[in-house]
Amino acid sequence: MESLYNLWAKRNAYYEEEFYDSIVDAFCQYTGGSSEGQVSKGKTFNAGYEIFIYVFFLGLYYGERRPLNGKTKTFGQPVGMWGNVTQKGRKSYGKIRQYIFAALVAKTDIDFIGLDKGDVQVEDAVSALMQTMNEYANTGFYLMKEKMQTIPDFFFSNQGFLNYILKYCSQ
Amino acid sequence: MVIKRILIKNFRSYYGEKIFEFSTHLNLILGSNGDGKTTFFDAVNWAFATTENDSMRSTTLVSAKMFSELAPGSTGEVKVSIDMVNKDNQSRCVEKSFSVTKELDGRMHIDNYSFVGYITTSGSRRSVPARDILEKEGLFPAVIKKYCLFKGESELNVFNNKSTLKELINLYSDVKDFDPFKDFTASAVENASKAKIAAEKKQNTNNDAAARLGAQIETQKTLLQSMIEREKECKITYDTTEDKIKAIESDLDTIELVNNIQGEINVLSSERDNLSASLDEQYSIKLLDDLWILYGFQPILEEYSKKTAALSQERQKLLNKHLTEQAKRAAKVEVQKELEDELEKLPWFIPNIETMKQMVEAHRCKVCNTPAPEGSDAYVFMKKRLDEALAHLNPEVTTKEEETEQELFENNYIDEIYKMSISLYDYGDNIAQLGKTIKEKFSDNAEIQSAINERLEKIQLMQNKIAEIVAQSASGEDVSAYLSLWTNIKNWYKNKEDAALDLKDLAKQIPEKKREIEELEEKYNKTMTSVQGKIYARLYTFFNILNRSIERAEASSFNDFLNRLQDEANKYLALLNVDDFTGEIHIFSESGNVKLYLFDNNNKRIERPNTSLETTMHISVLLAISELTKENRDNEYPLIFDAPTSTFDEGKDRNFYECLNSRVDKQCIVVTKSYLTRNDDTGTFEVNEKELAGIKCPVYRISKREGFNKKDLSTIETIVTPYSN
Repeated sequence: MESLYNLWAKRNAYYEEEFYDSIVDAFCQYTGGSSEGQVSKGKTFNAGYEIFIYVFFLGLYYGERRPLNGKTKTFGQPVGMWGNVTQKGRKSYGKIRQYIFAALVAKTDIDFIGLDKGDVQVEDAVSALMQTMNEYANTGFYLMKEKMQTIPDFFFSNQGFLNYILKYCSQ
Repeated sequence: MVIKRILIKNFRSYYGEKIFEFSTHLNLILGSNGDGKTTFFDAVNWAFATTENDSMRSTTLVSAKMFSELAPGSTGEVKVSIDMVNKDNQSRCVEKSFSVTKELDGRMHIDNYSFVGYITTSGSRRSVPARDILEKEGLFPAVIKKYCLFKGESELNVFNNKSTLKELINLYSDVKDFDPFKDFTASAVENASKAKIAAEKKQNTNNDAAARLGAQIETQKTLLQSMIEREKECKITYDTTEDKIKAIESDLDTIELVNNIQGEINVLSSERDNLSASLDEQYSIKLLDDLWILYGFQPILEEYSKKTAALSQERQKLLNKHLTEQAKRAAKVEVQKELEDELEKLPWFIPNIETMKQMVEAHRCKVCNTPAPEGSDAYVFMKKRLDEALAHLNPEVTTKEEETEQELFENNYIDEIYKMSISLYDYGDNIAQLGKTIKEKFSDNAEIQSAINERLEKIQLMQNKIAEIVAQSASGEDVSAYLSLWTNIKNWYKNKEDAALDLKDLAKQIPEKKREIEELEEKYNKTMTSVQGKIYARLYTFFNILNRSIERAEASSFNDFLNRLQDEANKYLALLNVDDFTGEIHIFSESGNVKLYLFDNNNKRIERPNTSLETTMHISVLLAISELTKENRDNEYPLIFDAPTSTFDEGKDRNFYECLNSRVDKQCIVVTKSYLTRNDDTGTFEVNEKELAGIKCPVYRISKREGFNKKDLSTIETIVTPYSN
């Protein structure tokens, strides 16, 4: 039996296409290339999934899932590769995948007894987890969009991303 | 030459014809800003200019007012005419003009450029090329004009240029009269030397003593030549380093101060760079790399743990229930079996396992006390009971449970997520610490940022201070440009000192060497036996002596001229500064150049005379040169100044003009804004009649005609009003 985590980690995340230009490409050194000059280009993150992780947690802490609409886009790497950073000056943060998985399990209504008994298909359970993830992230994307409409350069400051997410942390 | 009258017609703001008449002494033209002072000066300069180029007929010289009033197709004239008298009191005039036509399309066309002179003799007037009057007759040669027309105070500093002063002295003094004699004697010495050498060669071919002397002379001459070369090099070094030092010497302390401040700035900048490098503000990256993003995750982790724990418990409960049911079913089967076999009514643990083991080993049943040999029914029965008892204690039971579980659950995902919850919960302490970590990082960075800001503020203050110091540069040089040269600047002084010492040594060594050579040549000449050789040797000696005498006479004449110039200049300086400190002008030759400095009575050089004193000094020297010119050239020239006293303190300028008028016997035409005071009621400048009453000289007031439009040049007109006092 392949673990639920591994099955989930093989999947790719999705997001609404409209956020590609305005957020994903705007903040990530998305289409490859060296990370040299990343800062001068105004790119905060490296891979595109990094901004996705951010908006996922943003939506998660905000506490709202928002179903995706319209055309969607995906990333080049499946969830299982997220955080395996090799860029100079960065640290690997693969452990974050387990926390995302834990959050999805906590927040997704899955009949685990039925799953263990074989009454529920595991692929369906994994799809439910992915849907939860994409919907929380979608909420995060919209929160960012809203903020950028009010203060366009908000996320270009050093503390922009941090301050914004801290606002929704319940600690 | 004396200027009698100037007519300016349609020249820039001088619309129509404006006429000035001048006395042989001081003449004042008073005007405030924009009234046409500089235009007057430019008009005079233009009329005297003997060069030919496009600027002589530029459209910018045309009165905008005149042109605006011209009807299309009609023509006007721009003209400046200057009437003078020469040293013999004969009338001369130069007139420069061109015609201006307004084309039908409104464009300006310039034509009929003319530069003509007029000679008036016995009532008749004839025209000649203007250059014939100015240059050939020497009425106002360009080379003299250069030192007679001065626009503002800054142009008076031509004296700071040593070559200019030397040029002037050559122009005015009789030093140059020695040139033909110098040329003659130099050539005579050379020819006599050649003839002597030819005779020597002819006669002394086999004379060892003469050959030795000849060789010695050659060696000494080579040495002398190298000394002369060295002297030239030293002069160049001395001059160039002096020029460099002179450019900045008044700012030397400033440069050193700025250099020191810059050093402090460099240290602070380096500290700032190190601090900036330690500033870790990549908060967005830390959200991921340092898992700061989990700061709000604690409640979700707890939710996850509870959920997985509950699922795990539920699953176990289902399993237990299933096992119990299964056990019940198994127990029922066992009871039935016990009923079928009475002997098997005993529970599995009676007799106990140890007793059963002993019975099997002893081949005897201790329950019924009968023998039970191996292979008998009793033995087989006992063995079976022992195996069953052991089976109850055996882990095979677990295997059976697992088998049972597998019957109930196909998968064990709950176990997977439950185990993950334990592993993540162990990490929970780190999440709880994140708040503290983030706060500490903020605090560290704030501290570093504050230290950076502190340095930036200090740097800014220091840079402001530098800017302030640089702006107050006394020399007018860009002091900041010298900062990187600070080490070189210190070397300049050393180079200059070294060069001066070398020059001093060489000034002693060269004459000694020359004497040495002369003595050797004298000895050598005595070796001459032929009549021809003796004659050439004597000729050579004679011309050499004559050459040196002329050189000495020239030097003496040069020094005499400088001394006279200095005396005359000091007379004027004293006259022009009646009630003020003047110091004394020293004009002297140093390292082949002419220097002009102010000294006090203690023979201490005044390094930074104030501007008015410096201006007075320059004008005094100009007047002195002009005075000496009278003697040497039998001619004199007017001095024309545009605003020479603009930096004089109020009152001092008036004293200056009174002295210039009453004590200086020379024609001076001065355009100035002195004697004008502002009327606060009308906002206009008016002649201060009370102050002007003390000065008796022709005065003209120039001013803009009222009613002009500030933005329309064609409404501007300078009006000229003779002022009688």
